[in-house]
Amino acid sequence: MINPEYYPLVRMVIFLVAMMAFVGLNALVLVYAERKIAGHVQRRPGPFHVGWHGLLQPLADAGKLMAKQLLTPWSSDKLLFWAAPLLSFLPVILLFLPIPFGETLYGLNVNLGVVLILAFSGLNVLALCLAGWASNNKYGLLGAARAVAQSVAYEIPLLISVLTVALMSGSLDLHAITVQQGAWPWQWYGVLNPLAFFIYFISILGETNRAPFDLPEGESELTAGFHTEYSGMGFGMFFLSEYANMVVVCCVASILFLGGYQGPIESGWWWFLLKVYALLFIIIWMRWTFPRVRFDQLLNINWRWLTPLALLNLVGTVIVLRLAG
Amino acid sequence: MTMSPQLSSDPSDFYSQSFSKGARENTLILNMGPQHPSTHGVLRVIVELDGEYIVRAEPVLGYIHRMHEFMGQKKTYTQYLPNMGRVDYLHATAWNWAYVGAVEQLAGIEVPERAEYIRVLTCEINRICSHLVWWGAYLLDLGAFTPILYAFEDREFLLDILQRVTGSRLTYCYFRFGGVYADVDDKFIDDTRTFIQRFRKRLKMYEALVTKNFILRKRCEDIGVLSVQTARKYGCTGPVIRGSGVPYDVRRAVPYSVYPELDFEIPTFSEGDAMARYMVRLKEMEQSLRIMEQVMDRMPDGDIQGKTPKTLKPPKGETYFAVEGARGKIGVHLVSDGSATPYRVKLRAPGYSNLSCFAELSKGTLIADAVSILGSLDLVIPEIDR
Amino acid sequence: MIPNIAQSLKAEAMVECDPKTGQAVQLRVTAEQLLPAAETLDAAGYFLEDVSGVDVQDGFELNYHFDHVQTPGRITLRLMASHDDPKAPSLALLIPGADWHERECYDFFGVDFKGHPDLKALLLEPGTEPPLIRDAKSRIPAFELSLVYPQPEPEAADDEEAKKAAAKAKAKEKAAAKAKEKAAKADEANPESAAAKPEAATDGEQAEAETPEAKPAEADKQEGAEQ
Repeated sequence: MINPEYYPLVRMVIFLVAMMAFVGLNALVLVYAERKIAGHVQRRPGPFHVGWHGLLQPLADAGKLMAKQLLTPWSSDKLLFWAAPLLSFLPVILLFLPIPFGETLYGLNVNLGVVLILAFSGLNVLALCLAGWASNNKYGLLGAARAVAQSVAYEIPLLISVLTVALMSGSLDLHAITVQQGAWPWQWYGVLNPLAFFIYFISILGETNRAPFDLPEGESELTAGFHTEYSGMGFGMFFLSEYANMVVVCCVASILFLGGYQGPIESGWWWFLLKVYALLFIIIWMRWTFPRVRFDQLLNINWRWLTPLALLNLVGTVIVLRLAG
Repeated sequence: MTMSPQLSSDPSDFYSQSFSKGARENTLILNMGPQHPSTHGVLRVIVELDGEYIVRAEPVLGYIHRMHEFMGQKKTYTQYLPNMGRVDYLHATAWNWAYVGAVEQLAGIEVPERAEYIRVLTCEINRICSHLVWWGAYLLDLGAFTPILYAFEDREFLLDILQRVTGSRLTYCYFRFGGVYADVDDKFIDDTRTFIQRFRKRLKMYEALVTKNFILRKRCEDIGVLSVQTARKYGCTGPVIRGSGVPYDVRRAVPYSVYPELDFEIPTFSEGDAMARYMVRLKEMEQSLRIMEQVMDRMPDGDIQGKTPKTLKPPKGETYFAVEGARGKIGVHLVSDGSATPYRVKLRAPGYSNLSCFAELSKGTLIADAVSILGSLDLVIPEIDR
Repeated sequence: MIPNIAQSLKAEAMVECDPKTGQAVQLRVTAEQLLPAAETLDAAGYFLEDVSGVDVQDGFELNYHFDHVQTPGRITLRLMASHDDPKAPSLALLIPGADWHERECYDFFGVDFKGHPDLKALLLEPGTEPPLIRDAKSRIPAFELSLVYPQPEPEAADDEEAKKAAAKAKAKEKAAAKAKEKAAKADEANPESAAAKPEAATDGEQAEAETPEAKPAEADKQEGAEQ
């Protein structure tokens, strides 16, 4: 028998394995959702031929990506070139650890869950930067430069809006934050403080490089940006991590602003997933609707609007909390 | 980063060699194209970047150069006709018309009135097709993927309509010396009328969905401002110069065919930026719909083919004939030595002149703006390279 | 009607054109006259449509087509560059749009545009043989193209003509000097002369003697060398 002392460790390991499966499966679901939503936005059926209504299309895509030859550009830095996709993918799994999917459904119960997630999510930038730099490609380099500038910039309003919620709840523990909000929408922080939610939502688009802020890979300018030189699963890793990152930030959003796993009827993980996928749907919907912003505009939105607004919101929240409490 | 010695000593191609770095320090020379998502077709642009700002840009042409002008000297007048659809695959009928018109002008061939109306009708339908493709592709350049599929949906209707009479869907060879190849039937007219109804609604939707979009306006307004003077100096025509506020349209300036009888406006916007060029093209589609309606109302009965000699041998001499294509003034300078083969065919491609101002327009802009400018000029590379 | 602007241009010859040619007025210019003429046209708001080269017996004829956005009417400047040493002054610094048109002519005919800032291959592989140069036999004389070139006398198509060339050359030089007045006079008579043109031109005729600016002896050599 396992020493009860190691229960948390065992739980973590099991959870990590489960999360890897979840991330992989979830990527398949999201790819399918993305392509179907794109299809319907564009008045076409989307994937239709592989399986019923194209259900097996993501599997076929995955098979194709894995079967592809891995090309390494001769002028690249081989070690860093292949370290980058791994570095981009692996930390994402860790991000799922402190997330409470349900009341007891979590990998690691830490009282600094928010900080953990924010800290690990920063690693993704390093991966993009390495990928662009190591591939020794000018488009890659420009994409990497964009990725760094963009992530650093958007991290600030993101942090501030998270901080606002932390102040409101008085805790950095994701579980505690969830519980403090009630089951009903008017008890959620997203409704109580919609500005923070709005800022957070815009910032995660910038953080995860999703359209209209997908500049690091802005295809019409930089062909594919930082992953121009990657083929097969090298690209697949970035792809996976992009989707996983989207899921993580949406999870955090649903915990911080939408009451996490609590719902009006019968709280549980289904509420959590419902909220996450609703947010994901909006993100995908936006991608297929808007043109891409320009890089200086992107930074202007951040420095001129989001950051000052987030700061004002923080100050306002503090004042309101003081007066109320 | 390991830099292979091979990379630095690699003798690059002619254009890279002749594109030397400018005086500024720490600039990056970036090769965009010929395979690049936003240089539609096979345009290649070498840019010198300072950060993301363009210090200098130079378009490199010739990747789809087919020497149409040489082919013109080797084929007979009739044999050369199909080439015209290949020069500009988006507005093939206008090129048909420019060449056919030049030959008719030189040889003194009369065109029956019905044929003239049919020409106007097909040319305007084709113009809408061309503008639709441009619209979709331009928004694709700006990162919006959806509009191109909407545009192609509408274009599909038009291609079906045109296919009925021309027999092809893209590289039309529909015009003949002295007329057109086939008469239009009632179904063609009915379909076109249905399309006009439908497309008026769609244009409103496009405006609400795309034109009013905040991000789009930010990407187009005040980008690539082309002054009237610069536009003229570079010989820009078509929507590019009309976006700079000059109401220059060959259909009105040097009227040909039945255009003088038709009532339509020349949309002009004076801002000179990418948005103005965008708006000109959208408004032009509305005007084309008006022209199509009038043409269908007035179309007389009669022949569609005038009298033409079996073997066409225009008299010695030269002529210049210009028509308004979707991209601007299409000109054909035709020289005949009295034989069955043209002595010289010079094709004036509007895109060629329009693109030549890109180097000046893009100077000092961000790379993303340069893409927007390039798109707003509406380039069809086969036409530019010929 | 000849636009006023055309009358103010210095040129060897000027004719008003038949509408069939699609041009309003044509001017024959020398290399020295080209730049001032283009400058005047540019200042008057004309734009350069294209530079169209035509390979004729007398050399590479460069047609600079100008048009105006408000008052349409194509003005063509015609410049002859010799086959031996094809060169022409460049307009690229004056009219930036001329840049690519000149590079195209450089590609297709090998014409060297003096003063062009960046004369290199544009459409073709660098170093390609200019493809639009015709073989000497198939070339037509320049006067068949345009009335700005002196038209031959209907009966002048004789073998003796070559012998008389030296004597005729002087007369031609005079004609060149008077060309502008001639052209002005020809304006009224233009439709008739246009109609007379096809008959006047006989196939196979040696036309080098007809060009006033080419010295007959040189032209003979050149023709011989090519054959």
